[in-house]
Amino acid sequence: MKQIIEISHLNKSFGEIKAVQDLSFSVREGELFAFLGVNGAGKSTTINILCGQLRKDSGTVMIDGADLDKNRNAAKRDLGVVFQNSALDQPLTVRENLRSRAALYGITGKAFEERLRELARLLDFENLLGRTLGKLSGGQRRRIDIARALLHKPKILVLDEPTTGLDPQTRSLLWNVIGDLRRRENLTVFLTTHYMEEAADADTVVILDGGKIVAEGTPLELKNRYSGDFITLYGISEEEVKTLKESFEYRNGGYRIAVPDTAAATELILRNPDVFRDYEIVKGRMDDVFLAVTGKNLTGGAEK
Amino acid sequence: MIRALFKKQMMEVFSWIFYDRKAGKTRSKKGIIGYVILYLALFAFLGVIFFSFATMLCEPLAEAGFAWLYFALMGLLAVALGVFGGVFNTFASLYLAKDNDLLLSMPIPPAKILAARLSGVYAIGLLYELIVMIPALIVYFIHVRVGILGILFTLLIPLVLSVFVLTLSCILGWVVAIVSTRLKNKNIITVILSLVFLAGYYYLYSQAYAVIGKILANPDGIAESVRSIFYPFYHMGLAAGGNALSMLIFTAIIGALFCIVYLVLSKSFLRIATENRGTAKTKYKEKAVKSKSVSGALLHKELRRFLSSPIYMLNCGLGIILMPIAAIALLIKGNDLLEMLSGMFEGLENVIPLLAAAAICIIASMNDLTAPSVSLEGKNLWIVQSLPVTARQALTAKLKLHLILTIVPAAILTLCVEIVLKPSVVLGILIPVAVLAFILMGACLGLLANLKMPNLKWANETVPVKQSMAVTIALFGGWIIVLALGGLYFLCRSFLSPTLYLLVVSVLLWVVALVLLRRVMTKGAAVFESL
Repeated sequence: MKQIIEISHLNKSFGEIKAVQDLSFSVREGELFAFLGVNGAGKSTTINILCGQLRKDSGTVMIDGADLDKNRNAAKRDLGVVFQNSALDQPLTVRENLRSRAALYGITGKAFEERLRELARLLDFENLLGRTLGKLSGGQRRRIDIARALLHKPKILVLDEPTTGLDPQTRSLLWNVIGDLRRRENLTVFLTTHYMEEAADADTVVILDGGKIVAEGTPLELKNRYSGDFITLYGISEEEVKTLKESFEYRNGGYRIAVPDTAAATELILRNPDVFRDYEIVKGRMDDVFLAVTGKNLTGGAEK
Repeated sequence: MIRALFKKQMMEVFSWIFYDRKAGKTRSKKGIIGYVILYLALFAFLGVIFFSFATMLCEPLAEAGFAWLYFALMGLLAVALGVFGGVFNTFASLYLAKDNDLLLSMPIPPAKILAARLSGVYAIGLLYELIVMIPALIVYFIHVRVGILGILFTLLIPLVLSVFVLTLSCILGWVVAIVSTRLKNKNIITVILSLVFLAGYYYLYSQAYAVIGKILANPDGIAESVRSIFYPFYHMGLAAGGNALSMLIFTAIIGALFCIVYLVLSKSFLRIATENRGTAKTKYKEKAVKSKSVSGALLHKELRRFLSSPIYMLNCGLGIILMPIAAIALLIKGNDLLEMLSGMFEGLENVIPLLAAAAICIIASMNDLTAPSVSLEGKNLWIVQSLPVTARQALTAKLKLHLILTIVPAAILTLCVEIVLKPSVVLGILIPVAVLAFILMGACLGLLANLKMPNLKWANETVPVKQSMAVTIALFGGWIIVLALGGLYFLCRSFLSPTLYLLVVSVLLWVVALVLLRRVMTKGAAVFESL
């Protein structure tokens, strides 16, 4: 698959603070790419450089083959960015907002109306077109933000913490919409998020810490590498668990044992078939991966 | 694209006409027409003031052969007003625009974004500048014979002058941005600056006629100063008379200055626009929380709420600053004032202590902290209600803050009044007793009015602070009571001496204050719980 974003040896400092240090990674066309890190890890700096808002100190950034230094406008044309805070005008209606933003890309008249119809159908906001932005709910506003970012049919959609502050139902709805968009428009999604369950659905995850990449791979690879598996045994006494000679904890009506991977779990079960009468094996979660890699918890925007 | 950018910028600049930010909704057609008429009336009112100012200057200067000086002076005035209106708009447009990130992520060159942003500042600057320049031009055309070139140039000058307003606004906006990042306690600084501005405004307004007098008395000297210090304005004045070379020089100087500023800004715009200039960085230091008593913690909360809002401080705590200022003024000019009052009330000198007590009460009633205090809880009222504190404790904290912040400056003022007036011992005791009762009554009155008419659904805190009935009742209620008591004295003065009258009033005020306090603690507390 074609590499649509290629970042190599990217460096950026603010005075003595090295915000990004020798960062190199690539994003494949059509994939959902998750970029994780606590506040101050270098995520926003990287995104700001990618979107052309910040000059880098060194390194190269290629967007769909265009060098950001040499062909900045062409590179930006491939990007649609949804920022954490909505940048639309409260007094204007949804249609007026989108019309004024589309005009900045040179999309006007019939071309605009067609694209608006298309996006309104796709993102399900046909009934909101005449409403002022100030009267929309958080979830509705987010959908309009996404529509705004997609007006010019970008190849890459950059989502900077798109679901922060939304309720679980709206979050799920938004992800369904984004999934739909990826399928229909072969869109590449570059995502930063504080919700680990969202990162778990990504094709590739990159974790940043102190401006450097500390882990990279698919969620499965990362889980296997950094968090291991957990076996939970049910309908068993504590004395029986102790015979396994493994450390364990009592949780939610069962005894949980951490094992390095699925092979180790299988071996343990085969060695003690009498003890493993009722059990389940689960992979570690992305939270465990993040904690193992950075030693920090992601807590919705704040480092703990 | 640039057209779309300009259109967007203009929509942003003038959105206040169509959109009510306080209510968070679009205005109705009638609302828009009403709003436009209101602003036109305001501009017309200001225009009339500048028209009279221009009339006083123009004819004598034109007759003395200094028509250019008239135009230059009015130009300077227009620039001052334009910069005043434009500087904060520049700061907001360039440094705080919420969609800088978005526009920079689009394939739009930063120079074009900057140009669009500046067009908005130019429009606002022009609007303010025209408040002065339109009446100035009308008066100029009435009193000065102008040729075709003169007419053409005088119509072009406001447009060029606004570029100078824009240049100055850009420089000052940048300074505001720098200063605002380095300041701690921004709210208090805002309050102080607002008061300094108000004081400066009243001072200049009071001195305007004296300034005109000075100009008319010495036009040669003023003309020489303008020519040497404000050289472009000298040429602007000459250009108004139809001098093409001066028009060229004036336009070239203004254009060159703007180009320099634009070049500097466009070089740094990317950094400026993406840098968060609105907030100063603070380093988090972990420290143990100091434990406080319940009443101490609630009082601290009320104080923090008061200090966090410049609008609240300016509208409901003006007395805190005015009372010490009055006290100092009294110490300096007390004897002159006493002399003046003795002259005014010849034969009625014993009324002066009563007047002093009334004056202290009037200034003290400019503190109406309790009046919006319940409404200001807004959507967070549930926090206080869910805490293990009673409604009485919560209301007591509101009263305490009002009393502390009013009694302390009132005590300073009262002390100074007594130093200057040297009243009898009985009056010396009765004045603070009456003032104290009045302050307590005012605090309770404001709180009860707010409990009776709370507004917890505001979107902007100016609504409970500036547009609530409770604040109006507390502020004007206090003044009406003082005026009523003053009127009552003149009815009773035939059979009550000032001392006896103040004794009766003190007792009356204490009775009313204590009744109101009891009402706050019983009915008021019940209302607070049920909100």
